[in-house]
Amino acid sequence: MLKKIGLSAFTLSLATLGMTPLAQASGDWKIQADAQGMYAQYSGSSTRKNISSEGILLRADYLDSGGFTLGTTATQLQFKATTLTQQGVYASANKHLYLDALPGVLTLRMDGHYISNNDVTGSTNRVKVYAPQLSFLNYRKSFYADLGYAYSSYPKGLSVSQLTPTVGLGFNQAADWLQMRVYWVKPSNAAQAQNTSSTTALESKWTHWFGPSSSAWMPQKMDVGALFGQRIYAVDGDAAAVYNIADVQQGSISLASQWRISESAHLMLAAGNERYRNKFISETYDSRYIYLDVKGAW
Amino acid sequence: MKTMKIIGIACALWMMTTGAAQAADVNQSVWSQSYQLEAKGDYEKAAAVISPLRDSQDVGEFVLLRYGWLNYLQGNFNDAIRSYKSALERNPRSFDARLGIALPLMGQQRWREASRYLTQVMDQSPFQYTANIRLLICQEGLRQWESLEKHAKSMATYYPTDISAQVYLARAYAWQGKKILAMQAYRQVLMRMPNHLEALKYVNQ
Repeated sequence: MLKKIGLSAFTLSLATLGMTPLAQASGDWKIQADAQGMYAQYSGSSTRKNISSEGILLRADYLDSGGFTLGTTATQLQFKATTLTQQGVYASANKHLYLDALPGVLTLRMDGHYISNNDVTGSTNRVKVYAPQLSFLNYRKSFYADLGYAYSSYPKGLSVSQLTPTVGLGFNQAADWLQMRVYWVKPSNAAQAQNTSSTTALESKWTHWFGPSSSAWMPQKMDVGALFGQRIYAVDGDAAAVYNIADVQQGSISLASQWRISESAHLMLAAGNERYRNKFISETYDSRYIYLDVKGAW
Repeated sequence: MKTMKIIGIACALWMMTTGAAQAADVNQSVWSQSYQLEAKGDYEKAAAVISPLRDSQDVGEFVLLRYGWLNYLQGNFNDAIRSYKSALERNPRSFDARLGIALPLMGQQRWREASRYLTQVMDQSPFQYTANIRLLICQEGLRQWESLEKHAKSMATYYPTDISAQVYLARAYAWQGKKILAMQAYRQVLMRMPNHLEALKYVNQ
């Protein structure tokens, strides 16, 4: 508050002199808010109709040192016979380390999720997830690597361990980015995980950053993603999402674009198709989704 | 007796002045050595020879600033930051320490932290050239194109012969899709430096 008053007084004194300051001081904390919405229609499923979710994420970063994020999500899964409603809360903290011995930034991150729902079986309710991650990004922004781990605790004694080594490579003068992440997921009890003792999947994402924009409609960046292999009860650190009510995912494709509305506002639109298999009833079905994220910072 | 006292005082004074002169000679030699080593590109040794003087009451602040600079040149960004912070603790009004600390922070792409020190300088001296130029670099690093445009435009007004302000203004226009304005700004760059590669590339595209 004092700083703000001081700056205003300073600005006023310059205005009196007929001069304008060249730049305004910025605050040490950067606050960012995301409003997200997702809708997916199931195709080929005998039990599921659609799923939708809305969420808000608040992120605070202190200079370039680190920060924390808090989020909440409400999800409605429409079955043909009933509706499952779910609430999720998410908290994340990260700390950046700048070591002279390394040509980039190390980031320590810890995520936590708590999910509750009205699942009549009780097997996906009160889910807790703890997910630490260590990542490295070089200063030239041409190499990224992280090692993530997630421990998910489900009711009835089921626990799920997940390891996600990731490599990202930038090329074409950092205008293009290729990221590959392996998901090794191991449920403690296969009987509670659709008779799946472990799954392996490879998630790949190509991001293209557009150069100086030629029109307002030109996106800032575009992502094309695909998932190969299988995963169950996965925890997606990038999306801050837990797949606790999904069946065995058997692949996906996605396309996303991000537009820059202003210096402090962005809009992201994504669409994709995810394939799932319910092994209990031997059914394979698709989920076609659309996702919208509006981000504002101040 | 009185004569003896005078001789004693004279001797003491002579010894003090000689000692101070010798210390000054040693210091002079250290500085010369440090500058010569820096000129040869041996930044580590240039920093090592002045390192013992860092706790000196007389020259400590300057040693810390120079030690920070020499560590920045070596890429020892954290040592450089520590040294500049120590200099800032000794002299909280120092512009040099703030401008200096911005360099290793920018080296680590800590744009917001660097901006904080630069804006502290500009709070006291809004048109300080080095602070403004370094802040333009930070704004580019943060991809704050609107802020960069506004800031570079002001800089170009206050420093009309300056090339850097025009280049950053042109980049800010280009990234926002303001092609005509970008072209005009790059032409201004070419008036000041006819062989400027980036401007030539844009104008000839």
